[in-house]
Amino acid sequence: MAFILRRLVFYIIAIFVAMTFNFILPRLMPGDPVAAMFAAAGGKMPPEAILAYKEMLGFVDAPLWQQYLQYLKSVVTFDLGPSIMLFPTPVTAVLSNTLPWTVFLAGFATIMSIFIGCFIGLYAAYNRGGFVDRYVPVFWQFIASMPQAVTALLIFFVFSLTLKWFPLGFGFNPDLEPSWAPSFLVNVLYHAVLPMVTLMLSMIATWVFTLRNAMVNVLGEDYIAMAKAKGLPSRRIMTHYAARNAILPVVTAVSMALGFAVAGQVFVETVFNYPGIGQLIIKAVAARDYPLMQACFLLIVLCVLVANFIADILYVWLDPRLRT
Amino acid sequence: MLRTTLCISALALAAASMAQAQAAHPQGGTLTVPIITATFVEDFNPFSNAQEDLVRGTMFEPLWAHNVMQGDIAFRLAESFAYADDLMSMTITLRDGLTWSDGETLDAQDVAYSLNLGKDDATLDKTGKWADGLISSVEMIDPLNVKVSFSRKDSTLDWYLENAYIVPEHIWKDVEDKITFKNSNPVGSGPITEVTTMRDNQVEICRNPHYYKASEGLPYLDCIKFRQYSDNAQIQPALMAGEIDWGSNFIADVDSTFVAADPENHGYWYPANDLINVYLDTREVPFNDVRFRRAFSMAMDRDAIVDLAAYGYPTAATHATGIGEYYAASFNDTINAKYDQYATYDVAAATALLDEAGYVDTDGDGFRENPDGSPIDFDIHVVNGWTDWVQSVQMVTEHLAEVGIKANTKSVDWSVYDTALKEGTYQASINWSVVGVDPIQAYNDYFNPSRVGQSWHANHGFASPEMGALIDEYGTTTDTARREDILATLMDYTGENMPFVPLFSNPTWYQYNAARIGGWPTAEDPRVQPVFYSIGRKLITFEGLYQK
Repeated sequence: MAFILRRLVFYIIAIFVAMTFNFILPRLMPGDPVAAMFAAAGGKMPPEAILAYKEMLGFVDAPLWQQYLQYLKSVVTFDLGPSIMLFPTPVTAVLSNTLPWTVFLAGFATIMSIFIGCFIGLYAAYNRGGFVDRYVPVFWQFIASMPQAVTALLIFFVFSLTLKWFPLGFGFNPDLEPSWAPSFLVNVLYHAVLPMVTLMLSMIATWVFTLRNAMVNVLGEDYIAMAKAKGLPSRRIMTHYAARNAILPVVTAVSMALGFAVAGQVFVETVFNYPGIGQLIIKAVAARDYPLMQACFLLIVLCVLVANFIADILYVWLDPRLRT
Repeated sequence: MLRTTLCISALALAAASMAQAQAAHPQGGTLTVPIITATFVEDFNPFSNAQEDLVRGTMFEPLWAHNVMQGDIAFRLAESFAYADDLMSMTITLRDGLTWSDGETLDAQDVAYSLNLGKDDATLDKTGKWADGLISSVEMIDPLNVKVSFSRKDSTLDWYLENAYIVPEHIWKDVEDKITFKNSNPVGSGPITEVTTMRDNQVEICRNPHYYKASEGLPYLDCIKFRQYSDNAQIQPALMAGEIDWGSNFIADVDSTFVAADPENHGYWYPANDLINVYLDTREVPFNDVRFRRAFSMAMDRDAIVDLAAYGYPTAATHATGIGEYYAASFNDTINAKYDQYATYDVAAATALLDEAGYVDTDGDGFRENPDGSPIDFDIHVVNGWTDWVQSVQMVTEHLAEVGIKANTKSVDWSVYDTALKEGTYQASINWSVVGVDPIQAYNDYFNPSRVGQSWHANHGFASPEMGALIDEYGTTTDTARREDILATLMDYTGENMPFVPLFSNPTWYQYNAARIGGWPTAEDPRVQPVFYSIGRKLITFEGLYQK
């Protein structure tokens, strides 16, 4: 219990530090929202319009500490104010429309890649030196070492643009009315295939290696030799004796992966025009949309910290040594 | 008596057949256009910038629209306007029998109400003419006439009034905060007003049931489908795949990507837009010498710059008199001819002029020095990340090196660039020029002393009170002959002094897909400059489109 409490205090401090950085960093970037909009318009905006626009957005040149207090208050009350680029739509409304897409995409891709990766890792470790152990992890490592932007563009070019097997973008066909009808859900899945595959390709290698390496260590332990000596079937040794103990490092990795999944979507969502947070971040940064940017970054930080916290709790449950 | 009746019936017949000729296209069909945004939101307020592209022109019609390419005015909600003889007011006359899309009458009351919105709230003033003090009051005279009174003499307000949004008073008068109003059930005056689909990635707006041109069969198309894309890179494949009918975007290698995908139907037309110049600070050595500036200009191979730095899409500048092909209708051949040599690539002439003016290489480093022996070495400012301009400036420096002048490309952040141009602390800097309704708007920004410090184009050292007075006079006369004189004087002044070096006119990005929709403006049928991001030109373009 003391362990959990200690961690909790740590997380609260971490959130506060992250929030402060979140406030400072966007303001260190050159340019402001109006200048960014102006540059985007190619300068074809009379100065009167700029002044009017500033006034409309309520740009106050208040001292930084006042802005900071205002910001803290808005975060605590979840009243994040209106977005600048979609003015006057509130930031919370924008996020609630985009977050589900990212959670769906990142969640599915992460879970699927964990299953596939862990299975390959398990198999490779148990059959050390076999064909799978020698070539499959290397193959996935090769795929994963390609920048995600390149993988995404390649997949887009081949399967969407050239072969036309998959759509060019969107979370679903814009001509369809969203509903829970099976035909619509199928359409959603159809549109999610390529982005999901791209995400999985870059993630599988991690799981293969994490589990394989952990397993190799565990397999050297005496109790495995004991189990073998008892004449247990090898499948049972692999799943019930080795894998259970090799899972600890995987839990850490999973919590990290889930936390970073949101942040890792930027390229994929941009290439496939997927309506999630990743794409929103890019747009918000380009438009210097401080409220929206801050909300997105805060969300990422929260994801990472919450995932870590869950991992801590799981550890306590999985590892009796921590309970003292 | 019999004869007059006959005449009238003949006229009626003629009118009927004309109406038929216009209604040659059956109604129906949907136009698909891309909108660059992160997501659509339910917001049809023309005053908040969120989704102006969905509503301007086609949902909220302008009073009129200047069609610069055709040199005329397309009257829309208004039938005409007239300045008073003393130029202290303007009377706007509306069409008879206008209605809003909810069936309510649209009359002078609405127009006066809408124009008055800008009086107390600058954010609702799309004309900018309350803010600059020109408009003193707007009042309704009778249901068809509105009088706009001025605080000073003026004959240019019609250029700006076309940007005003006319909104229904019976809806907007009850709205407390007009900027944050969502206008979820919009009532408009344009051809398409009825929102039938509202999703994050698509908005569809369809035919106005009470459109004033319905008797002419307009609009031909039933709906516009706006699709969300987050950047140009996504629009290109969508255009290639035929998902979009009307593109207004930069497309890399348009011939072999877009046109080649369907040569029968895919087309583009990039008519000239704003003229791009390299502005020079003429208070500084060596730019204080007009011979140096002219040699600079003659050293530019504009065709090569256009081809290599900008994919061949812009139109190379051929005249040194301050305006580009956008204002081709206003070119003055006599004055152009006087200075065209200075906007023509001629290395020999440039070298000769530099030699003659005493710019020679005295220290043997391969670059020329000033006549007093000090080295010439200057920076040309360009904004970080504006890649086509960065490449253009790099070519400019190469061409300068060819005639022995040392210049460097200096990419800076927008805020640095902006301040330097406005405050005149640059040496040389690439920038656009003003395009609007009348070429005088460009000259106003070049030479009117009141624009120094405000505009990017005025602080080069040649803004002058005399030119400012002429420009002001232009805006307070309706005498076309006098206006032509003033323009000629300004062109002559530009050509003679050359405070900036013209490079090329930016293209208007415009791609079309004629597979489903016909009636596109093209180089062969230049009925309007097809600018989607506008009020009037978008409306005029849309009105001619029909389902094939």
